[in-house]
Amino acid sequence: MHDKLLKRLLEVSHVYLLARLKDERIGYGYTDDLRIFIPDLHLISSDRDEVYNYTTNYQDLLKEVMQKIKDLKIDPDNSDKKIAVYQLGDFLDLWRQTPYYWSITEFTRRWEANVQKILDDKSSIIDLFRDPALKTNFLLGNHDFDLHNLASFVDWNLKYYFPIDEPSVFTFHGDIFSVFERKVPDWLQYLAVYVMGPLKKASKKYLGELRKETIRIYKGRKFTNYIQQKTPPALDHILEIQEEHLAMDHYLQEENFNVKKAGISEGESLRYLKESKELASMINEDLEWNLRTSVIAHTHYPRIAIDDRADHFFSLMDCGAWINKCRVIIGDEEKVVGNAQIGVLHNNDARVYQLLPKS
Amino acid sequence: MVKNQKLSRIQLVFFLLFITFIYSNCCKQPAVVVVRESDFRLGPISLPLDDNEKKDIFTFLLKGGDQEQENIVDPKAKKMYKDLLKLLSQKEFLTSKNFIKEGKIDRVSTKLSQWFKKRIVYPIIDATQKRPPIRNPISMTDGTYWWVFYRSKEKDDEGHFVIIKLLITLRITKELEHFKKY
Repeated sequence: MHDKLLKRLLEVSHVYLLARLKDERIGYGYTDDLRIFIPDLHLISSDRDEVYNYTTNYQDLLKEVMQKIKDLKIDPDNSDKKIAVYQLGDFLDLWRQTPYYWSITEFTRRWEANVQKILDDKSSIIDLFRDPALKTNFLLGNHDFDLHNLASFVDWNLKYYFPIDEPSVFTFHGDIFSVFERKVPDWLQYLAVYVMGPLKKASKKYLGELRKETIRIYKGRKFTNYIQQKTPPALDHILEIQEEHLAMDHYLQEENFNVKKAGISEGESLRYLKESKELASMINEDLEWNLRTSVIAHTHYPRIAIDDRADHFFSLMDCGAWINKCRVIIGDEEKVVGNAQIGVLHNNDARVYQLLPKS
Repeated sequence: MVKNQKLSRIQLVFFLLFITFIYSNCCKQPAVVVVRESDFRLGPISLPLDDNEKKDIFTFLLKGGDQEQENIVDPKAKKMYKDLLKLLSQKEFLTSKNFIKEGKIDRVSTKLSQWFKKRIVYPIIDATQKRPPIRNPISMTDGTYWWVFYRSKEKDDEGHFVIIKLLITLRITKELEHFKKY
């Protein structure tokens, strides 16, 4: 099914393999099941777009890609297959849309109208994602978390676990770890257990503190030139995939391509691996599950990272973003390109692709 | 004279504060239960529940109240509601005295208070019906769903209604945990 998707994507896009992990320990060996993950878009209305020195990248390509994914999903040849699409949060960017976001204390008609303005201005993209035939699973991110207060977004959630019968993978935006990085009063430790932990509910007292902490971290930032990465992060060599490759056996010779490994790799490339693994351990213990892989976005740093120390395998797929830029090496040439990544999981084969327009 | 004027100003301030207090606490719009679109509701299911019906409810709750959902959204659901569904499968429990606090018609009974917020809501908008109900069901919320309990037409010998059906519907907006308060 990877190839079926690639064939569709290649009709509208240059496709580069950014990272790949093929490993039975992922625990997702389903041959008739394909999960596609679209990371942060940060859509805002057209007038607000003019305030910033960047916008959602390659919007025409994004629409074509979504159309191709839909075509794949509704193709009668795939009627016996499960093809699920996830948008990993920060679909809309309410922080940049409403400059007074940080000062509001309650929802107002003006705030709701601003949400509607994004929906109206970016309808050609949003309609594709919300197409009933696609049935996109939306996650809430830190930039659009407040959408859950509107009736139209009631089916958006904070976390998804799959497959339903025997969950081995979970996906969430990843923003909760950003707050943890800033260190670490007791109430945050509490939240690690009671907000992200699946069995208990946090008290309002602590929720208020978390809101305050988020404002303390981010208030005053104007996001004029970037959101997450001040300079485009340097990724590795990426591998172009062309249509003729698909006819070859084993055109991807390396089962582990650009995989970052705890204990060997360093720094940013392992970001949130440890935290995700600890979170999975906690959930596994509570529910007697066996989560082994997490899928996130939020960092705008696409990569796959694993930790298999102490015989306890865990993998993290960070699917990147469609905003701001990254540095990649194609052939011998280093290029700065717009982030336009997607993650794909099928049959214990996790991949992150970089897409670029054909013209 | 001046003292009297000061006194009357203080009285006026207290009077205004009193009116504000009364208005903010007593004159709020009453809550109304809205029965959501078909994907976001389950039921009505006849009570008491059998094993298959309990399984259907668990699945609905695990999926976060979305019939179309392909993932587990709320893994805690089974643990959280197991004992409640057990009660709802016991015929002898299904009487309004076990749902409504004695002497307080708008308060959830102690037996159910571990799952639901304290207030019972009677008004309901259910566009799946031809007309509004005459005998409104008893609705209570856990913060995520409305649990709508339909009552029998007649009271039993002890003067209580029998609880005959259950509908669970996702609320209009969610109370999600993080970043909630502002």
